[in-house]
Amino acid sequence: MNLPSEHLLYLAAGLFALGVLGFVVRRNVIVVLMSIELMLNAANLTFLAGSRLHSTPGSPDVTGPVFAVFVIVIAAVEAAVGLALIIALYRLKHTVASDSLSEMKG
Amino acid sequence: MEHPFWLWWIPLLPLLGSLLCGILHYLSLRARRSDPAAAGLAQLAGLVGVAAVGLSLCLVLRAFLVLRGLPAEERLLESPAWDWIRVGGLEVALSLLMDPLASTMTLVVCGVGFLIHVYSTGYMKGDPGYAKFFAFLNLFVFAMLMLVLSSNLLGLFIGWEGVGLCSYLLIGFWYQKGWPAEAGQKAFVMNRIGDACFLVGSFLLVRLFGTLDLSDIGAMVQGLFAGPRDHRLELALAALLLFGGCCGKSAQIPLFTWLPDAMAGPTPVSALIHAATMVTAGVYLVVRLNPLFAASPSVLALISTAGALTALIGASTALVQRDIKKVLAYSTVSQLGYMFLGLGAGAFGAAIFHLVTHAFFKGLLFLAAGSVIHGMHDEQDMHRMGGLRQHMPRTYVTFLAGAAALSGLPLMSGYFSKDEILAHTFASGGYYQLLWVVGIGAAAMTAFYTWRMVALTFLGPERFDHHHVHPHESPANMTVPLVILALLSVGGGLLGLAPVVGELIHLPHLMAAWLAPVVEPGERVLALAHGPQAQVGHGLEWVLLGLGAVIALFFAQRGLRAYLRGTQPDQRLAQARPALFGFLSEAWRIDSGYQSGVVLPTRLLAFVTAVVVDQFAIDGLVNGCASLARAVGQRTRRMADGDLRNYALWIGAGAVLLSFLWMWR
Repeated sequence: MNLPSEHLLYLAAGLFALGVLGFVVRRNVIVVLMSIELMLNAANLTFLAGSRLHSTPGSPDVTGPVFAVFVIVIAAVEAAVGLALIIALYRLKHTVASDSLSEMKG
Repeated sequence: MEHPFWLWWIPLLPLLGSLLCGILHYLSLRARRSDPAAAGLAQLAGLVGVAAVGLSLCLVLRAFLVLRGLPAEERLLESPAWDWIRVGGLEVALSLLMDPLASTMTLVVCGVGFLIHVYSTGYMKGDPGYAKFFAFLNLFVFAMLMLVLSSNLLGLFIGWEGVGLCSYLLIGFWYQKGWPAEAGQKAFVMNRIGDACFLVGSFLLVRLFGTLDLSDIGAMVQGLFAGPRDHRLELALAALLLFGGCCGKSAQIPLFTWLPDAMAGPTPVSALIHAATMVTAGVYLVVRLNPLFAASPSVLALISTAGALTALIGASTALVQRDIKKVLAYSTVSQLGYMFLGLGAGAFGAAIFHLVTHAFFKGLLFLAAGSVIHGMHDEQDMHRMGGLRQHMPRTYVTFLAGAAALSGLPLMSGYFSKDEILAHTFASGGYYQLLWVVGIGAAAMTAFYTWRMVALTFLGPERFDHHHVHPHESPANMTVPLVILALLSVGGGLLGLAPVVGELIHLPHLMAAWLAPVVEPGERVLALAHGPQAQVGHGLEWVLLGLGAVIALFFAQRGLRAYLRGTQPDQRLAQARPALFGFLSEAWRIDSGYQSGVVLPTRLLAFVTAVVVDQFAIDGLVNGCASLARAVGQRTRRMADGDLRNYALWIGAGAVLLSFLWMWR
């Protein structure tokens, strides 16, 4: 395994950018939710890369993986809440397009 | 020293009377709403008011008799003290003190006050505020007695403010007419200027001596004089500030302009408050603290100067007034000026003597003028009177007695008291002799305007409208007080005969002997400050007495003769010398000077503050904040367009911006 840690960071940045792009351009709320998952996983990858950078032989740095586990839990919860919201939204509006949600327009 | 508790009843009885009259007023108002005929309740208030002051007078007489029974140097009654304030080193005990000075003052307040209360039952009859009037009048007597009897400056100040309040209430008694309310406010505000001086002066005394007790202060001033001569400046400053308070209360230059306007009140009020008692509070204060004032010769000179100028301005203004009460008001101003002239010359006893005789004759003149106004159906203009002698014989005779005393005709009370002051002033020498000349000039004017008033009111042709005005004599409850006061005005001189006259009939100067324990410390300080006081020799005293008599007789005769045939001399003067006439009738234009010099600039400042500072600057700032927030809101509300993706973009942009800021930190 001599994959440099920077490559992991590049990959994470790419995934995050993809997530942001998806979040911003797509109107379908389900896809938006998926984009959020993508960004969260990019963040996880960054944590792991950081952990790898800080580890020395014989003393692994565990902060990064621990955070990643937390993030996965949060992501699961967020997905559950998000999907429930989407179902409620569909029942209300018969659509899952994000631009139908403009009641709070200033 | 005895500690009689009953001293407290002297001020408390009028206070109780005031409360009762107030309750009666309230009850009569309620009764009147349901039953218009139920005015009898209010009539009861006159009885209550008179009885309260009458009982007080009995106690005052008892105190006087007790004092007289004691040896001269032990004449002091102090009621049990009540520790009122104890803060740090300062202790203030609320207690009453009866000594010869306080006894003289309380006798005047209760005696003249009682007569004026009796008179008021006639004068105010039928007035809708009858009970309220007696409530205020009794409250005034309470405050005045507190002022006079308090053993310390704080209690004195309570009374001082109390009489000011009652003066305000009673000047504006007929507030529905408008101008009395304004006059009341003017009196209140002018007095406030003096009271501020009084307060600062008291603070200074607390700092200097650590006590407010009047006799302690007197003793400490004497102690200061015995020791090294420091604190001289602070003493003078304290005396000056207290004199400022006296200027307000006793209508001296520069704060005298409220007193003539105070004539808007009912006439008994003018007699009691603005002639006999309240306005003499300043004289009382100076005499009470005589060692303090005696310790500062420059302040004494200033007091005399203010007194002499006030006497001159008052007397010269009274020469051309048409309103009978205005003549008496300016006359009061000028007589108070005499008292301060005497105080400044160190003649403390003589000033109190003049205070007493002035209470008699000026109270009498005001009440008699009230009787005239009452009989003439509220006419006050002397140009529309004349010939009232036939219609009001008793008022006429008593008025003559008062006029004789005021103008200082020989052997009347005012003759002896005024001449004693002038003799003291003359004997003080130097600068004081200049003031003596001013005093003599004012005395000549006094004789002239007094008899001008008599001639215009009671003699000469009848100038009123016979169809509308039917002059009539006042009822007995008004004329009996007049007669008693007239007797006092004529015979009051016996209290303080000039030594040379007293020797002839073997009657000593009763007043001087009575007040000696009180004024003696001040005279001792005076002697320390500028040597033993000059005494008036026998020959000189005869000359001064004779001069006073000649001037009074001559100018009284001139005034009487000139106006016997009507009002032409006034009209001639107004036509020949309009500038002089206007100058005199407007009291040397001091009031209009204040108007343009103080009131207008203050109004201008208030206007500028209101428009520029408040409306422009402060309101602008507040409104500007609001419009700024609104404008920012208008611009930024477009960002909240309801599009989830835009929100996300903004959040992202913000996050990016924050991370860059954090990285470049």
